[in-house]
Amino acid sequence: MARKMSIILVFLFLFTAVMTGCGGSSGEAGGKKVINVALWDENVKDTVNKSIELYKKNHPDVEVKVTYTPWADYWTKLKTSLAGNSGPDVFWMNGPNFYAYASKGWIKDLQPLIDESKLDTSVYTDALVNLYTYNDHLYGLPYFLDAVGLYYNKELFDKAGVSYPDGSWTWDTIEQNAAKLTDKQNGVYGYTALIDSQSGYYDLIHQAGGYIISEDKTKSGFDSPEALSAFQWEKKLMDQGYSPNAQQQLETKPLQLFGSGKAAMFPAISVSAPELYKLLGDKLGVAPLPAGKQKATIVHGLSWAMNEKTKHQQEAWDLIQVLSGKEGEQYLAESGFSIPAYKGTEEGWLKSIPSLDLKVFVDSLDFAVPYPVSERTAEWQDVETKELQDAYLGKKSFEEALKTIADKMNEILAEEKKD
Amino acid sequence: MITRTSDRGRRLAVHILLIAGAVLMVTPFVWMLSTSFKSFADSMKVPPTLLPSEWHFENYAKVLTTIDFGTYYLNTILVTLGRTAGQLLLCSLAAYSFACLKFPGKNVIFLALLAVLMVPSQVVMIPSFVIMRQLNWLDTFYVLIIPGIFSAFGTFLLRQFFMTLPKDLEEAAKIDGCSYFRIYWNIYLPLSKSALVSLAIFTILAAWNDLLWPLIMTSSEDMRVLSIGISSFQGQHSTDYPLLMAGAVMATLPIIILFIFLQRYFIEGIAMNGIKG
Amino acid sequence: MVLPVNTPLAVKSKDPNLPAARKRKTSKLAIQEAVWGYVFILPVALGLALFYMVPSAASLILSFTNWDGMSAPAFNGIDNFTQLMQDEKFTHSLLNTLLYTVATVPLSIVFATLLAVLLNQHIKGMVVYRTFYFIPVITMPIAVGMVWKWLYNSEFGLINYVLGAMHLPQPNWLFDEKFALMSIVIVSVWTSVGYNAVILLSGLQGIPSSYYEAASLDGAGTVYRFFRITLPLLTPSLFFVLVMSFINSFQVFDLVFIMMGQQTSLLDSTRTVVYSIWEDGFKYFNMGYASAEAFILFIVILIITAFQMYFQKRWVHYQ
Repeated sequence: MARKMSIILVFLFLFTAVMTGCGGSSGEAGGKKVINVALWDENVKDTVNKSIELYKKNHPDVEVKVTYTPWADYWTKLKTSLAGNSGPDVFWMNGPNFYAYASKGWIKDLQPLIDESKLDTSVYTDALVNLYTYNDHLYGLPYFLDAVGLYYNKELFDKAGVSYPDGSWTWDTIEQNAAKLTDKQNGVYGYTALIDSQSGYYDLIHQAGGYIISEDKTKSGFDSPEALSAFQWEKKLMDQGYSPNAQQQLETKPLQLFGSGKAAMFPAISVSAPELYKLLGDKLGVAPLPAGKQKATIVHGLSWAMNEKTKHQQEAWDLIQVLSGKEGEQYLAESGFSIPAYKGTEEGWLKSIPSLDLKVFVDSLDFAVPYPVSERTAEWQDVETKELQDAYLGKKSFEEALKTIADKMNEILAEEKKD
Repeated sequence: MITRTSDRGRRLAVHILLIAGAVLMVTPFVWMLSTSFKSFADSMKVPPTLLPSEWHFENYAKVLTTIDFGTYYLNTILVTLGRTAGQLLLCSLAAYSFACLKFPGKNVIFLALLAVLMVPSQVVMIPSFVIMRQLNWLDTFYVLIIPGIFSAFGTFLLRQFFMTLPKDLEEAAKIDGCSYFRIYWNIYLPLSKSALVSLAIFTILAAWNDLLWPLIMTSSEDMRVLSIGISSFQGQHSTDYPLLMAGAVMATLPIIILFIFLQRYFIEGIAMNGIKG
Repeated sequence: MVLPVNTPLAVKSKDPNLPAARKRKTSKLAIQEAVWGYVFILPVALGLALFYMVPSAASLILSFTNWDGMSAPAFNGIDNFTQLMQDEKFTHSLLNTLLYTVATVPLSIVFATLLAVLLNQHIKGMVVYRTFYFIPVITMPIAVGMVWKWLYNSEFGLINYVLGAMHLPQPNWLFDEKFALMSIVIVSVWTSVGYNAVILLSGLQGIPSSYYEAASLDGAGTVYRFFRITLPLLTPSLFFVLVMSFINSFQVFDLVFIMMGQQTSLLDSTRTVVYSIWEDGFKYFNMGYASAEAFILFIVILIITAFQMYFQKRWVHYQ
């Protein structure tokens, strides 16, 4: 009996010992400061490491830990760790999430730090500075950007005897040539009228002279005649068979279609260049997006944000400045990862794919439109996607869908203003 | 009397049925395997082809050099072993108690334990994170192993099995003066091999493929487990499918081998004839 | 006096020789048994309490607040719950989840039972078969999603190809509201059959072969043996599979996410409760509301499980 009891006691003892356990080392040992950095794309690892080396030259006593979280779960992890008071000090921020984080005070207002360090933010692309400004203050220091261009398949163009797209192309030019490039027998489409927003209808709406969200973020631009014209143009192309229709695009990624030589033209972002090059090699070409009433391209990009509750504000700020500084951005460009947000450092990126005229993207910044966001972007974007998909799939008219989107969006925007 | 022809006919029918089903079951895995040998361009082709046009065996080597596969493997093995051993021990003990011992409130307590299975993980993520932070367990093996050794699922599974074992065994042992622990340890456990093995399989599977919990609770590169390493091939804009699949195949193979190996312990007849007089 | 080993308890307690001593021993034994009962469940109970019940309780409290997930929660009484009652999206997701569960659970259990019996034969190659049927359980969800999306493809998909060859209607699986949920159910059953079969297989091991031998000696056929011996003795495992299937089906999320993903126009007919919870909590920064949804789901599952536990006496045969 005693033996049984003693076994139980030992058992319970071990159990409690494990429970109270000598917990893992959390960060600050021996007075060394630790800055935690979080982002999601491991392709940028070398660039970030190089920048950190640069940073360490002036901050030998700071340890920088970088965590890469796969994209699918990045935001879940970020939100959970911030909520649990154990979030990273410096992390990547994107457009759709920016407003919410800034307006709720989860990321630091960088303006006082910028003013103190006398940082000239005009060196960064205007569209990005615009995107990451909240209440006239900058909350994220731009890192890199992407713009939308018209990729095309040189081989298909040669076969159809059509000259390559250039800056003079308009919606009409696209339509005419899409007809020539479409080869129904072989299942080749002349153009891809995207049902996607960033590379598709956002750009088209602006090219038609419309807008998605007003400058003061109070009004939706979806119910304007300009917006309608964009969708009607796309529908025309789909109905005539020059572009894959909505269901086809939902079942098979348009990028795959284009990459397999099943489409001659494909609007997409600059970030897709390496991937498309892997698929099409030298057959790949890129041109500026066609003009509607005007030229327009949606520009989006990432910035570095700082945790409002960081314990090492100065060190974190210094790190952000280095990451997005001239040298840091040059490293980024050389790696071919994406277009740096620091004006003038693009050269490395431009050379990353010699056979491709990447300058198209940088030039298109002249008519850049920042990616449309507000505090509750996720909510109205969901309405937008649902209604438009129904319309694309023929379940309702575009007029109806656009009206619903605009009404709901205006409702949400009005509620935002109240908070 | 069963004639040999109808016996063979029956076997044939069984085979046909099983083969048809097996083909359906295995198709995604075959596709995974085939994609792992394709080139990137090949994997993106529309319409997709089953077999690679050229075989790129080097994809597997590429995975090993791109991510720290070795460390992730080791971590995952450690976590899986810890969780499985812990569960087999603790859950079987609790299951025995629920199945064979009488104590007030037993059914209510049992239902309460089952209740933890009914709360979706999304809403307990943040509170759990806070608890782990307070315990200083973030980014350590503690957070990956300890919570995983307590399982209502495992307790329930074993309790059902224990309840099918005849009470006479217990009565006999009690008369001989065995303590409850001895009955559990020397009689019930040895007789439950197949249930224990199946619990082991499920626990190993759950621990091996667990993604969200390790992802949220750890950050250091050297604490990463396989599931995180593999999902890192899925980018925001583009996914390297061949590498992703190669990684997934390498991660899944040990489980398949383990399953084949464990079947021996799993499928056995229990010699109970002697006791049922 | 030592009684023979298999003397039924009833006889022992009626022994006239030791009535009073036996009564005292019984109550002392009962207390001892109870103490050990508690001690044995203590580790699991404590662990579950600390790591699962405490966070769940926290979530329950949060369901009465307005919380964006990071700023301080603001108490708002039962506002979340009253809002939920009128929230069409939520009631619709509850309905979807119910439909999904009612379709998936019976199908999965029936197929798994048949499969387990088939896999229990002593036929050559059984190890290979069992492994093949278990592979869907370990196949990466992304691979599962991709292959099934191709199978369901309206242009190149195998399913519609076969249906067309047999002159049967070819539904637009992933794009027709009427079929979207069904397509997910099919994939779900496909994934879970192997899993449940393993559990039932181990349950089949607990059935002494002597029963079957005796029955076949009496001339009983396969069907008779299945319904009179196998099924009744399998009920403890079946009960387990039933309860767990319900609990898991009500919480389905990953599968919907993978199969439907970006197809938001069809999300209305496939959105499940947990999807709604994830959406409200992590997408729309409405964590308090999401917690309220989770609480309602919890109550639903709890009631159903309690019912099942209550009725188990009627159909589950323990030894």
